[in-house]
Amino acid sequence: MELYSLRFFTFLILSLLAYYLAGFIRPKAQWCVLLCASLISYLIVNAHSMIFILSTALTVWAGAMWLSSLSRRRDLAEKSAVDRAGRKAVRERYAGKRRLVFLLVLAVNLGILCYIKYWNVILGHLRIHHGLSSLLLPLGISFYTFQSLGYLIDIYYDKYECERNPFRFLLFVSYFPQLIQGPINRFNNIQKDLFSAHKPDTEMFRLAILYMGYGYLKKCAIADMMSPMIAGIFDKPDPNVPGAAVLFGILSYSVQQYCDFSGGIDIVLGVSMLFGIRMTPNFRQPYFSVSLADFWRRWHITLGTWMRDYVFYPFAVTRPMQNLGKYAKKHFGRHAGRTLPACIANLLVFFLVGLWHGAETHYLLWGIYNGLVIAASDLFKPAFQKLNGLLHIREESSGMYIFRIIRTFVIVNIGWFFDRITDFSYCRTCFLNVFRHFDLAGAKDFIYAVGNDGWVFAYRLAAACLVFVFIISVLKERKIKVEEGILHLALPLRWLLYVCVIAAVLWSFTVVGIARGFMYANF
Amino acid sequence: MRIFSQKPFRKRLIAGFIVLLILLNYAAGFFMEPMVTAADVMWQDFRRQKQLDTVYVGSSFCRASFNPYIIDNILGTDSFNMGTSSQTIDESLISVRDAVRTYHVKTVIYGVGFYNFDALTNKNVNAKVGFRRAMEKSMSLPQALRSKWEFVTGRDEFSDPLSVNYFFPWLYNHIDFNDPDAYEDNIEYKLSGKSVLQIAAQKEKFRFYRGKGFLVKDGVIDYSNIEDTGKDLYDNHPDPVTMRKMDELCRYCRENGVSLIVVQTPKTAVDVTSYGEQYMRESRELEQFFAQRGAQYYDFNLIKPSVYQPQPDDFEDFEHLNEKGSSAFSTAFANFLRGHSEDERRNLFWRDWAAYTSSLQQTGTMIYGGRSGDGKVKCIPAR
Repeated sequence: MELYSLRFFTFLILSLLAYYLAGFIRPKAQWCVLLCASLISYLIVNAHSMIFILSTALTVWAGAMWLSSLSRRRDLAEKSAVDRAGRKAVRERYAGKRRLVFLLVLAVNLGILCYIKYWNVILGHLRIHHGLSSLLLPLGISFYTFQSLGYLIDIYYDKYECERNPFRFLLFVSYFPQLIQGPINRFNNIQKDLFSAHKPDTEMFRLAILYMGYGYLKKCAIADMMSPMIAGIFDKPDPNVPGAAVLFGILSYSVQQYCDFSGGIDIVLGVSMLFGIRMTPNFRQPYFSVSLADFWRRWHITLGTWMRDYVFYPFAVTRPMQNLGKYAKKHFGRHAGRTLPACIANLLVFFLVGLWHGAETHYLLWGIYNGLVIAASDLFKPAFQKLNGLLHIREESSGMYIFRIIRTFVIVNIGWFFDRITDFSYCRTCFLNVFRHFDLAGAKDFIYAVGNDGWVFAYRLAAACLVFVFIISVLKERKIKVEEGILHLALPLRWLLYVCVIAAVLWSFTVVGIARGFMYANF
Repeated sequence: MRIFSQKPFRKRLIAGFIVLLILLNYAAGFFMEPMVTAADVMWQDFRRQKQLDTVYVGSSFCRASFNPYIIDNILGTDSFNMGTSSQTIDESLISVRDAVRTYHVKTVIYGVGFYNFDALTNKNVNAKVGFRRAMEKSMSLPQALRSKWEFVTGRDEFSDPLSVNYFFPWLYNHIDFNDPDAYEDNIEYKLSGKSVLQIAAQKEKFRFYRGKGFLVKDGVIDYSNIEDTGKDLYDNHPDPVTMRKMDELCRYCRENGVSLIVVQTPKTAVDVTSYGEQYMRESRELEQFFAQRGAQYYDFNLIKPSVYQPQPDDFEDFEHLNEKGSSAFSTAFANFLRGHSEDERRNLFWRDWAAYTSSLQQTGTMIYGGRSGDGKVKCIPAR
């Protein structure tokens, strides 16, 4: 659902009224209103794909119940076993059954995801033109599938009790603010907020509106302002594209990507707060990262932690990886022994991150690039430390800190080449042109030629808003509670700020009149 | 829980903030929303008509092509040109409905180019809002409110930012922000107390308003100037969503006993040839589409020179006729309708691409001159 439309605002207001009214009449059933609202929202936007989200919710819920029941039976059997060997036999018997159930549910859901999301792309790669799937990508399929599978894995490892009520679980899967572009919530984190009764809370409302306003500012007044120019530079391959124009396009994309995704996340976090539910934040000033690994701890945080908990750690502790670690320690030293399994796990994780975005080659390359850089930086860390020592560079100095931020920014932006430029040969041309055909004068003409009407104004507006976002980010980076600060500003100042944000958002529509949707809504 | 125990002072502050926003919005509208646009002039003049039996609808192709005075003189009709800049199909349907409801018109002539069948063209929000605002200014308050409600809850708009931004119409319907004189003039007009048509009579732009909705274009295309002759290659093709809306227009006309005639208005031949043979194929598909829906479709770019032959100086720019061109076209069009039965008319068009392009060479209309370095096409007269 377009988050800036009368339909969405009407839907939101009606849902809020029903939600809080239910809170007064029957607080325990308040979550039912939220479930109805979520299903209605899905029906409005994606009725044809309802079956997929329902099947994911049902299979994962049933699978988790089954796993839980097997766990209980195992525990009982274990208690009644007479000796240690008996207990071991019970555990092994149930472990096999549980693994079978777990893999079955996993296969069904990953199968649905792969078929819908990857089947056509794979056939395209193989140049097969028949047997194509005509199914449209269900809204948020990657998000809700990963969220549900995260829950299944947690239950498999007995991390917490499973949810017995299928409708409550359906709400966890289909909760509408998270469906457009995440975040990927964890059941144990959101469970309490989601199912407990909430009363209207002014402070929470004010905070929610602030989040939403900030999100709309980033999305409409920055990301959407840059989008047509970026498309103009990269969507029509031109072998003579000046390197300076490419650089301008990639830097713009860097801003667009951040403001589009984090702006959208801010809006949905705000929407969720209106219902009294705090979702997991997905960004923490990523462009202040000091390394690529740090960047991934600050960018799309919920996907990063999902991959860490459900892929990285389980993979890194597998027997082959443990053996590899021992072998590397014996032959190449302690550092290699410790980092080599992690490096391979990182490569796997980032290949999957690329794949999560899509099966197209450019996504896979982007994922592999990230994995390689992180693996290499881990592996060569002692060498870098040695080099710093030789050059008498103090690693804790502020100069080094700024250098690291800039270095990470450059590395991240190289990655955006793969992400944005879908055609690999054009991606290569663009990258090489930055070095061999920079042509600053030609870039100006190129940019003016591909720019839409009003792009200069659009960029000025975006730049002004970006300064504001930068200041907020610096303050947040310094651990200053910006939201609280704004809410406690003197009234005229606060209102001035609100009016400026509203004006910037509205003004953006004088340049880009049509809805552009969210970049991550396609995943 | 504190929301229900707010102090009255705070409530007053919130109310004050909302009032401030409304006032700011009103002030922005006063300064920036133009008082007189071509759509304003059309709608105000439309409301003044005593009787009409025919209307022309469509974008600037329509507005610049059909001269109601000439056509009425030949056919004895009473017609009005409702064409406005970048008019979308939705707006054309609104115009038709209004004309049928108000004047019981019996014939609708829809002036088009391939441009009008394209999906993106029909998302031109500036054109939509400008058209709506002008229409609502010509309506009574209840009608205008109803129109606003229908718009923001409309099939396409309700889920679009437009549904929110329509309450800030100056975002889409505004004067040139970079022209300081435009602000001054706009405020002066608004404070003058004059009507739209009175002000239009004073404005240089409307020097070419001939009445009956007919706003002609001035000047002749300069073939030596690439700025005039160069144009990004067209790549507009009929889009399924647009064709569904066309179907709706046809159905409305059929159900109300209105004869619908869809006309591809004359463009420079370079426009047509830049599509290549696909132009003829798609034109034929459109002809079938409309025939199946009880409408007539005539492509005046493919008409034989014995019926109509545009001259190089008939065009004001790449795609619009000037006053001389529209006079010639309107005369030919009216004679075409008067002098031939529907069956005869079908034989007056080129059906073969090679024959068509060779006729261009022979008759000396503009021909495709190739692309310039920046990917634009250039048209030159054959002689």
